[in-house]
Amino acid sequence: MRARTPTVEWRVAAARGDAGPHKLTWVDGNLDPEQRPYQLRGSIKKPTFRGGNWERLLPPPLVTEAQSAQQAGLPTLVEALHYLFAWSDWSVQSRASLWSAQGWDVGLLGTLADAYGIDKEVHQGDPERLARLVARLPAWFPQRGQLDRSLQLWSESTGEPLHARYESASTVGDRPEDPPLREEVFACRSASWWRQRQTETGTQLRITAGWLRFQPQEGQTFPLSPEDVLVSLEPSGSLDRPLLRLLSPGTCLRIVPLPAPESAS
Amino acid sequence: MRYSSSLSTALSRPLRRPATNEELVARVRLVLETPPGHMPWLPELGCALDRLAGEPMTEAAVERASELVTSAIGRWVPEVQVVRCDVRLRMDHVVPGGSRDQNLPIAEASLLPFSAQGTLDIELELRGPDGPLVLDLNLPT
Amino acid sequence: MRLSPPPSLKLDRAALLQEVRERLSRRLPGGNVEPDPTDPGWLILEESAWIAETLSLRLDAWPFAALRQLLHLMGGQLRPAHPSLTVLVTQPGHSGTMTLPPDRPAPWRFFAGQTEVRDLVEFCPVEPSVSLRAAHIENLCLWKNGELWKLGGPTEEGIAALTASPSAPERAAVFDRERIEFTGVSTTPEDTFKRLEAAVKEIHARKVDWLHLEPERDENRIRLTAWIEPDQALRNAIPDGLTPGGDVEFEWAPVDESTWVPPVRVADRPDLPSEWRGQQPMAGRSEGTLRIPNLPAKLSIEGLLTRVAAPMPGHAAEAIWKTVAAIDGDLSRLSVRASRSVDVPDGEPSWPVAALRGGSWNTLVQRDRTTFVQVRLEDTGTGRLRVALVLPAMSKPPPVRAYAIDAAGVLLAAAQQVESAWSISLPDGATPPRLELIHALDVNVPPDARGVVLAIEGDIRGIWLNSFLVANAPVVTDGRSVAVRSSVPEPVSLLFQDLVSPEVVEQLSGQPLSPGVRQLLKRLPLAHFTLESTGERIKDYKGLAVDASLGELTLNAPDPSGELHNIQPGDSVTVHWYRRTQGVIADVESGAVAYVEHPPRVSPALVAVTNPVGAFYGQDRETEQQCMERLFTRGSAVPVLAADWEHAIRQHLGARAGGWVVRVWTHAERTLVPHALWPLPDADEDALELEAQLQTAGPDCILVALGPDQALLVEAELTWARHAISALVQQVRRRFPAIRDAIVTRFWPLTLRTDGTVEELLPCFDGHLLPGMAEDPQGREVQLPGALLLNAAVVQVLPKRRQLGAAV
Repeated sequence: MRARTPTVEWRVAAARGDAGPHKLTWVDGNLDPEQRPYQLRGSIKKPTFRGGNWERLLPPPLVTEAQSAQQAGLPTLVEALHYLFAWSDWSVQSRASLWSAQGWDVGLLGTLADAYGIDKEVHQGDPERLARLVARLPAWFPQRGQLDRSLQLWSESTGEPLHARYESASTVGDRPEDPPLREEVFACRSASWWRQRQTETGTQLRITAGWLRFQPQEGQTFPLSPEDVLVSLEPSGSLDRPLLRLLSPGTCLRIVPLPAPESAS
Repeated sequence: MRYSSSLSTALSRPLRRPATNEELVARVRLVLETPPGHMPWLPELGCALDRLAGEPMTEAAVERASELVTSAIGRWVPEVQVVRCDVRLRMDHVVPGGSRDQNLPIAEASLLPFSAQGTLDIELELRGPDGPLVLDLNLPT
Repeated sequence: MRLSPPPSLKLDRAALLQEVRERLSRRLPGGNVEPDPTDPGWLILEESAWIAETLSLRLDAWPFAALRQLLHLMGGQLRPAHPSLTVLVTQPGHSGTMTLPPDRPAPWRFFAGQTEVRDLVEFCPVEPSVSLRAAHIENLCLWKNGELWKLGGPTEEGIAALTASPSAPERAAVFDRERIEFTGVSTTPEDTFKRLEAAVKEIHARKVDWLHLEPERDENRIRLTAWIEPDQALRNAIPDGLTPGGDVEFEWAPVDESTWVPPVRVADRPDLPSEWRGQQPMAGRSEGTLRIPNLPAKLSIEGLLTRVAAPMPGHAAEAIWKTVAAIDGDLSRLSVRASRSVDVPDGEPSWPVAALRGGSWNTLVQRDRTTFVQVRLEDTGTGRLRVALVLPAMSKPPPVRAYAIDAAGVLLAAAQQVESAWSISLPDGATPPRLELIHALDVNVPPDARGVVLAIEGDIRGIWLNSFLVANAPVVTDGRSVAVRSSVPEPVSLLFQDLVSPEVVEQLSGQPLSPGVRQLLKRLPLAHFTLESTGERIKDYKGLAVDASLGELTLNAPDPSGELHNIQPGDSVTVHWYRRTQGVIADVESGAVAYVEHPPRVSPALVAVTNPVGAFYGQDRETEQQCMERLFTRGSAVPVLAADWEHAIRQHLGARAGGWVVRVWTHAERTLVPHALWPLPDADEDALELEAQLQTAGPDCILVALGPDQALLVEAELTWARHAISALVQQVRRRFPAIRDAIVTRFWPLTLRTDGTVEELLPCFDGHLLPGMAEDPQGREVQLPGALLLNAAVVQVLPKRRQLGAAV
């Protein structure tokens, strides 16, 4: 037995083009004053939707005549009421799910995601992505900006693999060997950044495999701070720029290029 | 002369043609079978016979029913005059009802509701613009 | 700058029909069309116009679910309904443990019957396991100032015997027939007996008139029985048995080898002067005598004195034989065995005798002012005894010791282990109700024990057996199977709204509940779903999103903690059961829960149930309006201004305080502006206490006046609000220590009676802005003072009352 919400099903059907204001095969126009309004009928593949029970409000003799006429295959004005108002009726009735994961209206959901701080680079206007994203926004919002929550939101909403590995001090420690922090790429930072992470060893500038690196080969390395994100890049990899929109502006990316895997001899 | 009712609208007939007796009977039936309040945009339309439900059918109640019918017709179908109005209550049968909701303790569910069904038989003798006409109605209470 | 609201989208039915008529008139030959209300065509046209108008009206009213998303951006969520909590007392058919199965609904269901104003309310047990014993309370006693008093006990059988409240103290007569026997065997019984008689005479000659000694001989067995008989001393002093009038003095010396004399009181007789009834006699003019002054003449001395309810101390009993032996040295060579017997009169507690038999009397009465409760166990078993003490709200539970009485009727000296279970404040049965603290304990009982005596070091308002915590969170058995079609979140409508989800339990835990109760609520199983493919159980909505207010579950959407249960397309979820609540309607009064239902083979079978206290903490789900008010008037995260505190308090109190006036006064307002406290002109106890508190309250203390705007706040809700606001202040204090305390008082809504016009905004606390007579909810009418009212305000203005017959 299904337990589907009719208004949500209608909104899905409308978004797919199965329900529209002109082609009304989705409308259930059977006259029956005793039926409950806003029901889902038909089969899973071909659902029909019964809207407001307008005939219930007409005098009983009128409705009885209309029912008899319908059973005899004749068109009636009473039945026409269903077709005339179906699109408006269901549009209004299903507005509750407009701004929810079941909304399916890319424009509206995109606005909602935008209000939560999610750019279109993340959802790309895809209704399914937006639906999964919007369902997760309330739980994610209080912890936004954190790396682990952002990674979780990305993977669960988009399902897309990332092109680099992203870690923080809480997962790999402040001076990790794997990925090798010593292979970190030199990037221009402010004086306060260096001051905050300085060590006795100091920098050891060198160029290796086309990258300028600075971490000392021996002794203490410049450690990861809690706001740092360590990005491990494979030779074919790249930064996932949309993911960066999910991190707080104060996040500091630290890049470690990984060597190419050795080919089997 | 007795007519069977059939509904039609003045919008589809030539203007200034008065309603036929058949059309008037249909309208009288419509008024008598509609309880007031049924149509939210015109709650006054109808005949309040449903208010007699549950009352014992005394002479006073029969007279009241007759008055309700006459005044409803007089207000909503003024082309028709009521010559005679006979109202009778016919009792059908008593139906035991009620079932125990599984969430209801046994002690509470021991009160079983009973229902009764009856029918109001209304025989109307009317006079329309085309002459006399008779209408029989059977309304469940 | 205020934005003007957007224009309404509402269409007008009359205008639409007018347009139809005009168009029809143009199209149909013959000119104007007259609408006929009974014409079927017109009826359908009118209905069409009505539908168009109705739909357009709905366009203007955005559904709250859509608004909720916007509200959520402001940090707001519609607060769901909270279940009500209460404590039940039950009578089991036999002892057993009520254990909740972890994955099925509990078989026991408890109901408050339907009334004219309330639907059927169902409660379910919250504790995972409670031991219920077939037992009843026999009596309550108080040990105070070395004397035992009876405090009554249940007088009816059945479930009424499981609860008891102390009544007015009454003298215990349990020791009135105490006897000390000294028994020995003599080789010369005749001679020994004569010596004994002589020794007894000698003791009486030494003015030990309160001690009755009776020597007996049975062949070679010699016995001396001693007991305290106060009347004997009076008979010796007044042989004719009637008081002569004036002072009555009598001998009351101790035995030689002791300094102890039995304490006595003048009897509570109606013929005695009231100033002497129940009092202890004075010391006499000479040593070893007592005196009762100014007694009227011709009073019978029989029963004039009563013995204080306490056993004779062991050393005093020993001293009797020592004295006998000292009088006659030959008797000292007789080897005697001393024993004590007490013939307990009907209606007296039996546990003191059990304690004397076990040699544990002194252990029991080690502390003064101890309340004793004797419980009789109706069967043996290994289960613990669950006991609940009823105490004043906000009081500290007193220490409790428990002692078992074995099959031989001996009270064992070793105390049994007593563990605290939980505490909760609930409203009592008074009108209006006050909050009481219910403190539950589990007492270990040896398997063969026949009774238990509890020694509670303090006063109690009541004691119950077999009490357990319940919540209005009945289970809904669903059983439907929902097929998942895609990885996109899919909503499922459950059968009821107002579900009990983990979020609801979390919010309920924010109420002033003890840690024990919070723990129990968190452990209560809330829902049971399974995945059809693997049979894996999804417990308590973990990894699923649930909207408790709407009763909507969303699959493949994360729960509030961010955890997601990924359900693959093609799999199905079986919705076995979940819990719902009925909100504030389940805050039933004491005694309302009277029905219990369970399948026949369940153990323990419950015979009867009752709730000696009312249910509390239930809340309806927040309405849209309440949510809007709460959010759109939301203060900053840390309350700084008085208005910020009002908002914070209102949010914290939740729906129960909906519609209340909440007014916070700062130190500057209280001290720099002349103020007055209601009621006027004569302050009541509360106002006097408030004034005293305000004298010493400094700038780090706020004054909060709160209550409904139409009636006076009841005591139970005031106590609850005090708890809650105290917790809020402690919470805020951790981040912002400027405010450390809050004085919470009741708000008095006043009606101003005047024939003039009033332009002040209401509620108005400023007396000098509104001259006139003010009337409070208790009907008091007083001229408003020209001062700031701190705990009252004018909330409505009505015309002056007219005298009957007076000219208008």
